[in-house]
Amino acid sequence: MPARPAVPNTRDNWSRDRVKHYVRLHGWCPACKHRARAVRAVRARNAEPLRYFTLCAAAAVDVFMLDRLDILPRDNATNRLRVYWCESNGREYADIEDQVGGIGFLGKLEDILLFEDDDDTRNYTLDDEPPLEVRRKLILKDRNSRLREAFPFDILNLDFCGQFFPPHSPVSSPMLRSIDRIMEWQAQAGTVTCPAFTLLLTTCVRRDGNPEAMDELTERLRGNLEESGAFKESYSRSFGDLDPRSLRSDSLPTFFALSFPKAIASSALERDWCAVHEDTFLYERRPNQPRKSYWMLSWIAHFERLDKPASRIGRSRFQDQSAQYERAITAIIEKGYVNVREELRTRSVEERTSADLDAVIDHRNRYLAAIRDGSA
Amino acid sequence: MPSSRRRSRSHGEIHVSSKTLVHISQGIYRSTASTLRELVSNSFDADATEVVITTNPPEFDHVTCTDNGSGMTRDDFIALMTGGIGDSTKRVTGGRTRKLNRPIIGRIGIGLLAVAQLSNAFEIWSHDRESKMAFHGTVTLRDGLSRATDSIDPEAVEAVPMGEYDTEEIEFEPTRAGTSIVVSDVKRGFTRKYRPRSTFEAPPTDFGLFLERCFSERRISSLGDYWELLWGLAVQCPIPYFPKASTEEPQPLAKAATRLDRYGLALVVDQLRLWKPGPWQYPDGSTDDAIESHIASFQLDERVAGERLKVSGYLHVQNEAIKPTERRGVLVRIRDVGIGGYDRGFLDYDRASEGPRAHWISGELYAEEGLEGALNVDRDSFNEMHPHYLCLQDRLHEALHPLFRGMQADQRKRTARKRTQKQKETRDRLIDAIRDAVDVEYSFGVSADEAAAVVRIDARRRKIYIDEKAEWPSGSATAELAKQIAVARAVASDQSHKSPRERDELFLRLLREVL
Repeated sequence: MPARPAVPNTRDNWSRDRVKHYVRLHGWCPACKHRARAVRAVRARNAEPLRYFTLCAAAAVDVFMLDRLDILPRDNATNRLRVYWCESNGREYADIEDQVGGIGFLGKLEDILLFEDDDDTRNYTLDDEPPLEVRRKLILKDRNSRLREAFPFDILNLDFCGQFFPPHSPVSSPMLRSIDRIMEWQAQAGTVTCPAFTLLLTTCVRRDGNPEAMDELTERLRGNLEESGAFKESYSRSFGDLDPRSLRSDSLPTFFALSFPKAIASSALERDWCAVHEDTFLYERRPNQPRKSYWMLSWIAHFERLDKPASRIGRSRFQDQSAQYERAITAIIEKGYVNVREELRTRSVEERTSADLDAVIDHRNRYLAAIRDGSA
Repeated sequence: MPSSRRRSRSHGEIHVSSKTLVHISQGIYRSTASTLRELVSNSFDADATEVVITTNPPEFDHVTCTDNGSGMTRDDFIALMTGGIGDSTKRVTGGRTRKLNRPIIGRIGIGLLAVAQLSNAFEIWSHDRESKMAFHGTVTLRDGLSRATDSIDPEAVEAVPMGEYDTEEIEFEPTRAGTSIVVSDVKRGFTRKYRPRSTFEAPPTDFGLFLERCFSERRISSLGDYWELLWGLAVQCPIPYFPKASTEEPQPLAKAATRLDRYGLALVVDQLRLWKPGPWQYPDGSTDDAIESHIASFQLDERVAGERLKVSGYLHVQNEAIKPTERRGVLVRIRDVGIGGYDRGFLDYDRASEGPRAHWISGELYAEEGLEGALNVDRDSFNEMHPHYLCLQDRLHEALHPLFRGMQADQRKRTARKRTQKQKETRDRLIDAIRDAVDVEYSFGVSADEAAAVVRIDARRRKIYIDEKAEWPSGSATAELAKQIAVARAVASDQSHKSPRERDELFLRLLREVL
């Protein structure tokens, strides 16, 4: 058999990456602390621990960073971490399960979330030992139902490595529909169980993104500018030109950092969640070929449940919610985004970030060593 | 009259159809622990120093097995997939691993087929240390393989198609050198067996606490199938003994313990590092009597059927049933790998005559040379006709016989001691009751006067004499009761200054105490 060229290692090991850790330390950490405090305040009596879901990859730096801060719960009897996570690559999966433990879901998160029954999955069960193709669908169904049962989460850290709007994909991409599904399942959990949650959403922004999706984001932005005075004022103050197409062509990452969270906030509102913008972080990645550079965007937001579902609220209530949404999207534009590479040019910031990353890695390694010598 | 025609004769080589291998692949291992043990053995042979198994408890919807061994190349894998299964050359190269000089466990090259017992599809990643090349492969076995195989005409095909594979080269990563197998499509039976029906008790991440929990139960299986699986892997895999707290390991075990330490294979299952439980981990006294125990050495070194058979080990004996039950019996290891679990039948010893004492022995026997020919393909059981097995069986039974006899004698002594102790306690209670009733402190004395009454009261010396040789009712407990009743009667009768009614009431009072 002729040898095919080796598939390059797509597992980018960011565990030692300071740029990435800046976002963890200055973005994720404060947001998670905020959520942990809120959870403790409302759940002190029944002691239901914080529920954290992550796409953490094998290094699991976010998990051990939060573990080091005592934000993540551990089982008293067994000392095991209680974390929920998902990974599609089997090899990575094996490593995460060894290092983090917790409850893992093997598969692509979008596939698991968006699973829909068909004739095969309705007519067979795994106990029937059906053919492989049907079995694969049933396994997905099983994971979908297990994941659904695991909802709601207090913090969802969706660190996607891909694009939300990849080329040639539908405008309503699987990732986008996955976020909708998450909002739906979070909402179904009930007001007492889940009054609010925190979303840490990371995606990459490339120039070759689906132009149709970009057009739609542009149109939505234009709509906001027409409908909301406050938003228009902020936009004008920040960018001068009121044509979103100019912003898109001048600075794609800025355009995306503004329009993408807004699109998520809008979708959340339809599922009775009101977004409270916290921060946006942006940094450029430059692989070997400069023309292939791309940006990573991390959006951090808290979501609060609407007192009454949007479909049942009266006109005045709806106006309140609209005002809330307007405030949220205006905050996105007014707060701007954190340019991570810029921030890391300050020596003290860089040193603090590096020191914290070292401490987290050290914490992780000590934990793993304790498991290996049987004293964890 | 004999026929003058010559009978036709034929001669030829005997062949086994490759269909046989397909059937074997569909299930030869008795338990999941044995199946996973085969994967660990493969890693051991690949000079791995760490094997990590995960099963995603409590869902148990997949299995992964990752080692840091030498890995294999894509070509090795393709060769394995295209006819190399069951065709191992591992032992041809001298029987020792290249890097760590371990004795090679794999013999016929079907270890990878253990995965087929767990699943019909799996993925494999391997980063080969030597060539610095890596690949990713997917393997899909045909559905209903056994049924399909039955309908194949063995003459029409040379090899039986078992399924398909795909491979791609990937970038070599030194930190991931070794092999990783990921089974995401586990057979339903696996999930159903381990997924808890009610509450799931997750094992601790500290093996000491794990053992404590196991020893707190009469049987590990009561903690669930998953705990049993962990136990099975701990006792069967060639991993070091759990570090002892203070004392040295028993002499018969020292050699094996040192050898396993030298192999240095760490096995981690779902974040629990497993060790082999040593005989020094038997819990201390749990009943009114402290547990008495000792370790008997077992040595066998003979030439049997032209080959050397060398087995050494120990038999741990204690005066109480061993807990948990999974540890009762004897575990035979070949190349440091446990063959099945502890055999509670002691290789077919006549246990019936030993009664509960058969639960008081636990032992490990390491076959240092020989016995491998007696091993069945499943590596879980022996061919009981094999001369090496028969020899081991004989020597083990010879070793057990005096142990059981000794235990029997010890048991008799212990029973007698207990009886005396109990007798003393009840008589003391009677003396107390007499003192309370008649205000005299009596004690029991020994009488040699055969002409005297069977129970005699000596008021002056404040002694009560019982003729132990008199014809008391049979049965030690009944006899003792009768003696105490007789004492009560004698004490009451001795109160001559009291009225008959008062004497009767005193007798009844003492009788209440006795009964």
